Amino acid sequence: MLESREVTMRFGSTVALDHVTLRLEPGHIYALLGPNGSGKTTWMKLATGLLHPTEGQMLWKGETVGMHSREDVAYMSTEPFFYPWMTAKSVGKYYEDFFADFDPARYEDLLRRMDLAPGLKVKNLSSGMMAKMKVAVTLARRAKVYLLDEPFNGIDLLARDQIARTIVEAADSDTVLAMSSHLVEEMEAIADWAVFIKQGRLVESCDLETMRQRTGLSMADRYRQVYADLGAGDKEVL
Amino acid sequence: MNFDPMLPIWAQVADALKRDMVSGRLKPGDRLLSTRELALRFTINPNTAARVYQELENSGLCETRRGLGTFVTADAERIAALRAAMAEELLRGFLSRLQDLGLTRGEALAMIEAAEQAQPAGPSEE
Amino acid sequence: MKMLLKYEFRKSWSAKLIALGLFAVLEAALLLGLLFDHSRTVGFATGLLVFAAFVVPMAIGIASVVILHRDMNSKQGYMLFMTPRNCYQILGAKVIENGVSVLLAGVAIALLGVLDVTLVFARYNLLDDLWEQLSKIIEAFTHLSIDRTTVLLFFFSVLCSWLCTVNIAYFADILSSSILRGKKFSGLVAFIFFIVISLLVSRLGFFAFESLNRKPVSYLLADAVYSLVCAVALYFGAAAIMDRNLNV
Repeated sequence: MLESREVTMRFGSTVALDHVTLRLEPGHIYALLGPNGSGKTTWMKLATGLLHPTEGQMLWKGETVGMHSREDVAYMSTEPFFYPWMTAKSVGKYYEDFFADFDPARYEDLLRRMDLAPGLKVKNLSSGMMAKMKVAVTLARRAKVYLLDEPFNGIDLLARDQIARTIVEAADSDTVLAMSSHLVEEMEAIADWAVFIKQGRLVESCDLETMRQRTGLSMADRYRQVYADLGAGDKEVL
Repeated sequence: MNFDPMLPIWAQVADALKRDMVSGRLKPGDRLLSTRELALRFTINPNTAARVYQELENSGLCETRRGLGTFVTADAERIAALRAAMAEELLRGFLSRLQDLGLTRGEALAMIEAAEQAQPAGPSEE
Repeated sequence: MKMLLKYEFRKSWSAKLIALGLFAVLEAALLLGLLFDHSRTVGFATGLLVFAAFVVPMAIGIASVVILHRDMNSKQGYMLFMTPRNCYQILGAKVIENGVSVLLAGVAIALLGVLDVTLVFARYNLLDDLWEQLSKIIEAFTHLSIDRTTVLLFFFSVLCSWLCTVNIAYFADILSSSILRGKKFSGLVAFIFFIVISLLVSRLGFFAFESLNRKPVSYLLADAVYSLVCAVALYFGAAAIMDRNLNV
């Protein structure tokens, strides 16, 4: 179980996360929702150990997140991060070198499904190809935790279906999978829990099917309600 | 399959499977996809897929045999009853919408007969 | 650790390739000059080779710091910091890569130097004078008699002081990066920190070992040990700051 206990993260005077207590259990696919700057990325980085919380604790299987938890946690950032001198193949080799749970055969299969040639140089990738490759290499790990930050960003419609399917494939009863996306509709069918973060605070978390049954609201509808008071800013939710 | 995100997804998938059972695309005793396969087939959450079979099983429309998989009920009468129930629900909804248009029952029935004569619609060949 | 080292070497190979290319060009010029007895070319090439011999190891060292800076301040850093490794291992691999690279470069350059000097002297039939000349020069400069221990100690001392310099550079860059978070002048600030800390370290050493100046052997040893201690302290300090203030 991946857990944050009263986690607060401050950057100078900015409070990115404010006393957030959140537990992610295996066997679920979580949609982390909120506009830009709400704290979703910060939470994921804390869960990976790329940041240390200003206050509170970040725990994986009961122990503070750190070097060892990264063996189990696969994080995919929004931004591209591969070394420009690498190829698709050598990126896979890098992951294989550092992560025991990396499956080279699965990586090859995912690259093929997403129409990416192994010889492609990172510096020649278009933003769409880069986005696909990030997802491919992250989901090629057979990790216990997947934290995907905007996995659908910059990806064409057909490839998005492909990625949704790959996400469903990667999830099982032992896996914690959390993803954040502005494309809320893409996550409607594959997520089963929605976590709403607003201005650094956890405002709501709910079981989607139960919400649909009881209120007749979709995740997108609830999103609009939760963030209504933040003004016309979030035009990305269509 | 395009889902209506305002209604429970498990129900929509279950309905699709029910339609398959009733139309004969899934025959009594046929083996259904595993939960994982179902999730991948429809690109839905695995827990949702599990719920689909749970609910179908509660309705007696399928049964899970340990280690072998989930199977459509072999009981043809159950399927017939399902067909009747689904048809009746469709019919009720249809009639009520016709009435919303302001037609009386008599007028509605007359229209159906006229349409039937102009273009007879038999059971689908599928 | 092995994997970290593998990729640290990979990251720096382009800088080394440039250095190799440079030496190849200069060496070719020297050899051609010797072959065709073109003393102008020989002189020119020799001068540049000597210059390169001092500048290139420094450049390789600086390249490593640039790579560290990039790892700490750009998204590329995720590659490094998302792995199941801690900052001590990550920085340790960088220090080792830097030390090994510079050592190998130094040895290669020294060998090249020996080769070139031999070639030049051989070409002009002065080989016999060579060793005599060298001994006189070294003796004149350091008032030492040549013996193996002293030479080894000298090289050890150089190695230690390089390690210290490397760690000062890494510490300075990490400190600057954690304060400025990669903003515009972090490189400049890192350089300033580097100068300041280097001065502090040498001043401290100067005061501590002033009295030992008379005895050359113990001076070398003390200098080496002092540099090593500073290097280790700075390494742990840098890794600790990196760990605490990490924010790629």
